[in-house]
Amino acid sequence: MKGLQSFNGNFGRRELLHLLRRSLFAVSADDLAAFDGKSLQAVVDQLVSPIEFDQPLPVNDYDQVGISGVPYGRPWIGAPYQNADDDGQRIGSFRKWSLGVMINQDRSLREKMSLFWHNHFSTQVSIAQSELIWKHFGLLRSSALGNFKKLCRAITIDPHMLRFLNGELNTALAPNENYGRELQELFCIGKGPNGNYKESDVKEAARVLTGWKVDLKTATAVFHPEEHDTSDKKFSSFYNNCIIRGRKGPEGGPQELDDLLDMIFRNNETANFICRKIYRWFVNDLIDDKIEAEVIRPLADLLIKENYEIRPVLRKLLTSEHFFDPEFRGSQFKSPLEFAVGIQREFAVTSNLHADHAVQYSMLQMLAETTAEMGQLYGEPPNVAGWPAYYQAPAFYELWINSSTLPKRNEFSSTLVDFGFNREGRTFSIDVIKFARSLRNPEDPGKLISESLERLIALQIPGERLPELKKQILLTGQDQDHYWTDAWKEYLASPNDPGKRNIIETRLKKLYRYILNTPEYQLN
Amino acid sequence: MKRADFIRNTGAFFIPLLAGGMKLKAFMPLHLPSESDNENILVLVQLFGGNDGLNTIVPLDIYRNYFNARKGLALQEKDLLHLQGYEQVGLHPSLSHFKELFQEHQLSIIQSVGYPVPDFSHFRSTDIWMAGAVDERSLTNGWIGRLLQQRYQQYPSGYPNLMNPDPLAVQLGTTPSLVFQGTRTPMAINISNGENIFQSTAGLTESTGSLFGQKRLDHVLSTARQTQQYTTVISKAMKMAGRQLEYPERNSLARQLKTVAALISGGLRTRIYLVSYDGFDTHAQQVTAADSSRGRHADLLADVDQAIGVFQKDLRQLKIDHKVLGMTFSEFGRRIVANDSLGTDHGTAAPMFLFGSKLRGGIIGKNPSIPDQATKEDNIEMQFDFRNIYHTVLEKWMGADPSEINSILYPGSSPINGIF
Repeated sequence: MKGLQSFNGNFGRRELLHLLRRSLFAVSADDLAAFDGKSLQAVVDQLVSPIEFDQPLPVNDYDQVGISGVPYGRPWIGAPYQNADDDGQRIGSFRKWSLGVMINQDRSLREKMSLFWHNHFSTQVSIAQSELIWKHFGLLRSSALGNFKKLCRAITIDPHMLRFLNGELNTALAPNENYGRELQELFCIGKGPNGNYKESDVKEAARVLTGWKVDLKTATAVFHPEEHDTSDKKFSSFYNNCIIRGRKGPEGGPQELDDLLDMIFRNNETANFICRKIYRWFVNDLIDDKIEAEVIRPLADLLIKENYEIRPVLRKLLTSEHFFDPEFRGSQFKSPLEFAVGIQREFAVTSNLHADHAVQYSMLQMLAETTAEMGQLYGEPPNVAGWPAYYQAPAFYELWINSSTLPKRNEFSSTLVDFGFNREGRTFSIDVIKFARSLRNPEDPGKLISESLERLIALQIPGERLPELKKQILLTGQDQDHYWTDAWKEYLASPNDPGKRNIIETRLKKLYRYILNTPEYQLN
Repeated sequence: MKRADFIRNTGAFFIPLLAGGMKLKAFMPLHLPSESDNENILVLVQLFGGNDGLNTIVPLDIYRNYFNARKGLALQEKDLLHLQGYEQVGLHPSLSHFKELFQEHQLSIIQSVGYPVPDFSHFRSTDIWMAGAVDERSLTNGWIGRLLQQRYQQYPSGYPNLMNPDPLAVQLGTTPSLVFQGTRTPMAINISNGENIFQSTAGLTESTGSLFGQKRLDHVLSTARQTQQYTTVISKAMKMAGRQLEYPERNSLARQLKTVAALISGGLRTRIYLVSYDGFDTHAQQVTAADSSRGRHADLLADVDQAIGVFQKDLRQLKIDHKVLGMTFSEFGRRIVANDSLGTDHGTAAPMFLFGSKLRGGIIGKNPSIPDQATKEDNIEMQFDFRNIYHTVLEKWMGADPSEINSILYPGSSPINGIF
């Protein structure tokens, strides 16, 4: 297996699709058209340079009367807090909106990396306040391709995080270890074979972090020097017996926080840890000694050299021979979000969020419930370590696919093809004809199938089963391709003739239901 | 293949009929069934987050020390529930069903369960409890996974089959637990609502040209095949279930246990279930400032109490209570001294609960000790290694023999007395 040297092979359609599948929530017809024919460097340049985030704000989809002070269909961001029920509705709206953002994502790594950080700095939205949630996720998104160390500092005193891991309760007189532990165990150093920080380091880190509060009126973090532990903090040999000098005054807390992060980021294990997670996010869950030595360590060295800027590391990984090794085609399972959001994008099930918010939000709610049943509700990772499929050895990704979740996936994709979901008088379904028309040669039944598989399936499918698929599904047992070609042309000639439409639609539905239910479609 | 693969719950004379008289010798068990091949069922109840043992079972003999160590958090003596014959302990006021079960000898409390060198990470400590092992290198599979892998060595290939038509283990929930991870494959199936509707399973190819792609594909295919086959028996059991009691609607632990009771009553011969409940990581606002008997921890314990209380009553009226043993566990207890956020930080040993009508009942072990002037560093000393509880359950309830237990829990564990 090759290492991190620049990919030298042919960057064809398959390689492009592999790169886009890992970088975006599946590949839409428009995505493919936008990138097709470009060089690897050009594609990756665009992926790591997002355009300005310009999606519309989340809106009131819950109160038609407007007693909440926000008119129906208008953004609630910045509106004064009303009460817990109303705020819970805003958070519900935020969750739906977030799924909408993924569906309408731009052609960059930003959304995939925003979800990466949400999983990494795992918090739950249901117990929080909407304004803090909005800030927290805004931070993750704006820093998605930025600097890991800076993000770590911002997260440490992010109001939502200060509340979620009890940092706001951590004072000199009443230290609370919760954040000091997770900062090391889950966010920076990890519990890997070299993550040998001590219990005393947890306690000392907690003392460094004393005195931070949340001002709910302004939704900001505020440092209270009088509640800060001003004595020196002595760390273990793991951190070279580092002593962080206790400081008084309004700058004491911020300065000690800088010292703490300097100390943690001086330890190379921090770079190793985050690079392993990035690797598992984009490539594969297995990290053996060879991959640790030839991929993880060099990436970590690069990250340190670049002062913890994430972008160069992503660029290096995604343009490497290693990334394009054929052994990694389909080596991941689509997470529930990749699966459910991906189908929307591949088949352009929804147009955009601006349209009719009542319809859109109610469809997004259905999507949120569906992904919850599949084991991944956005905003609710099951615990502080994130979703287990990203960290729980030895099964990792395989945790996504089990006897409970696999039937849910098949049920969802079949329903989208067969009937669609009815919401607010509209039906959300896969338009199989529209998809077929986005292919290059839909009139040729063999090419229609092979192009569909290329678009929808991460693995390369050998040809031997395709004739059978074509015969059984598109030709209804016949042998001559022209039956399909004739039917297709007749439909094109009179697209409003229900009979002619029906002939090709029933067969295409059968084909796409079949493809979306295959084990192969679960792979990415 | 192991003997248990053949004779679980089955008369040996039945086998030739099923095998159509062919290959009679190959199907003959090596031994007649022994008493260890029983139908006992184990229901594991995971309380994720680290349940505060000290506020669950309060030591009354050292109440003063307890009270001083837990300012604002200590339960008032007058609020505690008292157990006849055990004046030295007080039960959290949320645990009224537990008290009832205790008085009926259907509840055993084991004091201060832990392991020698405590780990304060939720995730590492959960892995330790799930693995049934403390050594870092052993945390890659689960104690139940190893038990089942030993007994059903070929699994999943050839399963389900005539002798083993039902899932070997069932987990309620969408994310497979380490406890069921065998040495090669997960040994349980997951269900979320008792019904799995399954569609097509055929694949597009058998040769992927991708090492890892192939591995994933094999996993889906095997999951698909098993799900399809086990769905039938699970649906059937749900339909055949006896009339059940009302369970509290908004309590997800109760809903999970209701499904478990239905499956058992409907004749599913699965012997191990896992249900789980989370939220026990009470670093803050564990109690309300006004009343230490109320708050997050009180609510959590009330849910557990009601869920297990109704479950046990339901099993009794369904006349299947004699088959079932329940066991709660949590990755650790919490610190002796409260943390001034009206909460507690990660700690060490804590009580475990066993419930079931075959138990002897009572309290095993003595109250934990709390120093006069407890500090933030003080922790509860372990009285029982959790592996010895597992050992006892494996031996006395699951019918495992010593060599089996030795290889599941690794050498060194021993049973404890007084549970059965």
